[in-house]
Amino acid sequence: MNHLVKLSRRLYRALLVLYPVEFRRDYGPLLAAFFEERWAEWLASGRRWPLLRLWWPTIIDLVVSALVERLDGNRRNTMSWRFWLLWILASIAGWLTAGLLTYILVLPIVTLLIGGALVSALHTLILQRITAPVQWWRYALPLNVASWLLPLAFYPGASWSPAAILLPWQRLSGLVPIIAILALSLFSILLMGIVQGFALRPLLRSPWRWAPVPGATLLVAVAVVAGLSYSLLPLVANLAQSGTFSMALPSSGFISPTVVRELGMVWTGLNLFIVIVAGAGYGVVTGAAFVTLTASDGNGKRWVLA
Amino acid sequence: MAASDPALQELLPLTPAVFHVLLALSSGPRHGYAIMKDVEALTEGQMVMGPGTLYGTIKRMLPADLIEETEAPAGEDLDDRPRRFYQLTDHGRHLLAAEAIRLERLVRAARARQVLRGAG
Repeated sequence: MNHLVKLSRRLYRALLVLYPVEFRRDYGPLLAAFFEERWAEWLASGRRWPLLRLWWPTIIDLVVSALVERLDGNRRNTMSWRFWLLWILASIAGWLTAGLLTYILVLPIVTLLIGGALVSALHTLILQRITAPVQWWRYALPLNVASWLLPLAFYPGASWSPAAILLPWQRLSGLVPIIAILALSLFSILLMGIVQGFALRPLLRSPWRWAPVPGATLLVAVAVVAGLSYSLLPLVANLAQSGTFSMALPSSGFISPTVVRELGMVWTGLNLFIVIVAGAGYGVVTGAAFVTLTASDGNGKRWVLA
Repeated sequence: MAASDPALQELLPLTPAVFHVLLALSSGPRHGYAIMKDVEALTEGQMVMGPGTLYGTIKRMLPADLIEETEAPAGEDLDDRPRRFYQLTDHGRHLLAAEAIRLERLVRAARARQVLRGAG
């Protein structure tokens, strides 16, 4: 039993890393001493299965209290420049991935507008005092719109019909518009990252901490629905337009319409699967990010970091 | 500050962890492990606070001026373990009283409605 006791002590001390540094520094030795005293008491009492009966509540206590400490976060320090830059880079990388997925999955502009409006409204209603994202969407929405509409304006074969605006990729083909759209999108993504980064600048000077968001579950649920709508709307639009499900997805420019037609139902089914998974995944990731990655300064003003 | 003070009433109800720590310290200064043992005894084993929960609660109670660190009481058997002793502040004592009164009112209401009859 002795080696188990020693191992348990070592393991518990190692697991203290789950707590924030400040908490570990102030209370780590006391936590370890508490655990060891409990061990000694249980072993002396001769109870059965002391290992299991002590570790089970210990693990629950450790995980729950570590989570509470991290969310409650007594991080009264300011954000470091390194962390801030890393966050902007991560944000740009995230949006870049989302942007590429958008183009690969051929999502129409209307979903971006609806999504943007929905997220802005949700932020206003649920997150209330978190104003930065709403401000951020003010920049992001026109950029998104521009990235879709400008190529239409410059591409000779493009039409300004409602169908072309809703599903621009259906009318576009060729290298020039694709490069134009991608270039504009990359520009908008970089700009979004920079705008977002600048919105967080006060955190470099003011104390801040992680903060849980009320109504978080609802936000995740709505984000999943929004993510699915992002993905499924083109299918519905196309179905309504063509009356058939075999061309459920418009051709993307990367894949020719002929190939799409030839692959028929297999292609449709595969895309449907990818679209649903990507949509739901997008929702979960977005929702979870909004839930956890929220910062608050000493004056109660909040920022969403995602 | 009386237990009926509006400033105290705003802090109610207390979380079970805060209430139990305050109650454990009401009979004198204690270190963390002794607080846990006292809570366990007070609740007849129904509430066992783990080290993370206990010290997390203590950490939040200190800046709220509910408890304070103190020297080890005279006669305390000190071993080589790291120990920190805590005691109630006046504010903590008043808040404990206010919460106890609130709970007493609830129990009285439950009695009046005969909720406790036959409950053992």
